[in-house]
Amino acid sequence: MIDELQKNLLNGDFEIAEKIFQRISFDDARSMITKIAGDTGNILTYTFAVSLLLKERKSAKLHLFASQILSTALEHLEGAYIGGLYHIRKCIELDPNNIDYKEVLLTFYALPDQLISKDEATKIALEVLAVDPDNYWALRVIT
Amino acid sequence: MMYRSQYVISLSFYCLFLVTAQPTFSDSIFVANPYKENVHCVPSHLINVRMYEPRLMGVVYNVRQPQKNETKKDKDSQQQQNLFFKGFSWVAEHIADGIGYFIDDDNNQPVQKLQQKPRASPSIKKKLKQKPQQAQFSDSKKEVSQKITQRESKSCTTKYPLVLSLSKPTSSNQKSVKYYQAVIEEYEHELGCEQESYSDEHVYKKARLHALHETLKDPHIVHEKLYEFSEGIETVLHKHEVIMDDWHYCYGTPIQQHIHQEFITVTEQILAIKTQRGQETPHKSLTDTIINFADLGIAYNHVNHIVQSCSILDFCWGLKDSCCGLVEGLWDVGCALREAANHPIESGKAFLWRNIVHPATHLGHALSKAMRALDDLGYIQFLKFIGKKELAEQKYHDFLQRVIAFDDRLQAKLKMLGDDWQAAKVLGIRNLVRHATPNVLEGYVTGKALTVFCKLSNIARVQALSATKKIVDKVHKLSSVEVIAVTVEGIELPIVAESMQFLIETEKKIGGASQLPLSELQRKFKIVIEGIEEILPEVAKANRDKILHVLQSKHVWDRLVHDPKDWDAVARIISKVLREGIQNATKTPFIFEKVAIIGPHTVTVRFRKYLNEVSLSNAWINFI
Repeated sequence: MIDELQKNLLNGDFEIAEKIFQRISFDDARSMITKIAGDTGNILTYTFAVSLLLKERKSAKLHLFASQILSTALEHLEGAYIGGLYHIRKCIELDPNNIDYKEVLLTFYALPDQLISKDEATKIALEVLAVDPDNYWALRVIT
Repeated sequence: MMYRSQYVISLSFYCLFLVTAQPTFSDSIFVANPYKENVHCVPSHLINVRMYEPRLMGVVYNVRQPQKNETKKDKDSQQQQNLFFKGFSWVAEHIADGIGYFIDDDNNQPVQKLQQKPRASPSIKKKLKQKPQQAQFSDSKKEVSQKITQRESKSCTTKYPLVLSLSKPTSSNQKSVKYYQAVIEEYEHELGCEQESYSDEHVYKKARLHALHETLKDPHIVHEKLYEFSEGIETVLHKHEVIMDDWHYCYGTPIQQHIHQEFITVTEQILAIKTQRGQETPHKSLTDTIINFADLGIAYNHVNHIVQSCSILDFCWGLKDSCCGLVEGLWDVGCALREAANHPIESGKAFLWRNIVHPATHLGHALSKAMRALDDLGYIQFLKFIGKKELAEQKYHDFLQRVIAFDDRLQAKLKMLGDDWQAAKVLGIRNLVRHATPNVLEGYVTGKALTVFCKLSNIARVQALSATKKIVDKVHKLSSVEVIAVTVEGIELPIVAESMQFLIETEKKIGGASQLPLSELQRKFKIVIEGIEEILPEVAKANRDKILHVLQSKHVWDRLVHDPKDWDAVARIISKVLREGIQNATKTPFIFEKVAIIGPHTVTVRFRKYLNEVSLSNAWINFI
């Protein structure tokens, strides 16, 4: 299935790719496309995520998907982390009570790029710790 | 070649309880064998008392029959005589049981075989019934520790067993909670199995256990600590061209700090011996070797190779005790004599049971442990032996097999014996040790063992050769004496001599050692990092874009490698982190990362996971 998805993605056949995407679970599809993005380095994988977002603009899950492609597979591209961070901020904006998105945001704090400030990271970390006192990423910011 | 344990007993004492035997020589040494059926009597003018290793022979007494006008003059001598009587019951028992006979000093033929129990005088019978004197082995631990401290501060002669612990080999390299737990279990097992021990190493091992527990509480907590040494040690370390910062500074977990301190301690102790005994003793070469090993061990410790550094540390303790043995045994018999005279029975047992078996076992064990660990790390590929890798590998494997086989044999035998001293006598533990330990010492003295230690191999081999040659020279001088001499580890000197001859001839044929550039040695710290890690396939498959991304200057690889653009070196570090690092992940399967402490720095590696496949995403050295 991954081969079929890859073939259609990289050919720009997003409609077929979307059908395949919908046949499998979101998490499986997400990791599959992230792998394709990482292996090929092809920007079309991100374009595909954006195409899905255009159809469902207020989907935090799709923003997370787009962020993951940029920041874990195409991170070698200039501005990829900033793009990834943008999508995560959108996730939090759309679903402010979801601790998981805030946790992901904190992963950007640890990057050498210093994409988020200490103050912002601390604020988010405290919010995470209020719900999950043992959260590694939050503790890492606080300590 | 015959192997004989030898005990020297006084003529005067012997005359007292052997009514039927009245030798006429007044200035002689008796050499008794508690396991075999003979007692040698050798005229003292033929004996160079230094050739007797008291720790092997139990008690050595060079007795001149007291002259009438001397008895009151020399109180110490008289006191020593009294101690002889108290302490000789053990040897006397063997002779009284009819297992000994005299050998005439002139023609070396048995003059009388003791078929029956000799009639001992009432006073001797009384002596024989006396309980063994309460010796230092029953002292409280506190007292013993104090005595050890006194011993270290005053002299290196040992009154207490230089007991070393048995260690179980391990190939685990994982720095994780599980890993620490495994190491703790191992140490607890070792300490539980050990006999009551007062050695420095035993004390340190307990402290190591404590440090491991502390580390286990929170493996993420690291400390920064500076270590100060005396001017003397600083000078010596400078002479060895070690990187002083590596010795002065340690950044790591409690166990790393403890290991660092232990390396400094073992070095200080060996230098204390050196200071007391001068520079010209054969152990100088061994001292140099210990310092070199300690330096290597510290480098391992800096890069958080706990198992490897502990192995080298154990090996250093073993070598240090061997140094003590050489100094005390072959070059300071008089000192050891006085010690033995105080508590002959207990000393005799201790010498045989602990000071021979344990160090030998330890040395072999530590060696095999270190080698297994190095083998696990693939160090063999960097091995150099006079420029011929195949030859080096062959020699290494040959020696490794022998050491492991020896180790297994000795372990099995010791397990069988347990604490049964009588069983040890019956089975002739000394013979066992004699046969087994050549594998260790031969490997050591010929430099075969040291050859595997890569960059240090050439220096180490030269040092080993130098030390051994001095021993060989001694053997040649003593060749006319009809007593078999042994080293502190229970190895006959002729065996060492033969090994040495073999090595020298081999060396000549091959054409001598080629020294490695000093610059390489000086860069040892980074060599360790770059040299020991295999690159994982998931790292090796990274494409050009990924490599360029990882090698960005903001990832500060220059803190760990010479050339921050050298992907090969960086890939090794990344592989090490992926192999040993602590994994963290977000709840949504978004980010996977592993973090590990490499030297003084924390390295983060992020990766993607698809099914079981791992792909590198990014990696950097933390600098916040």
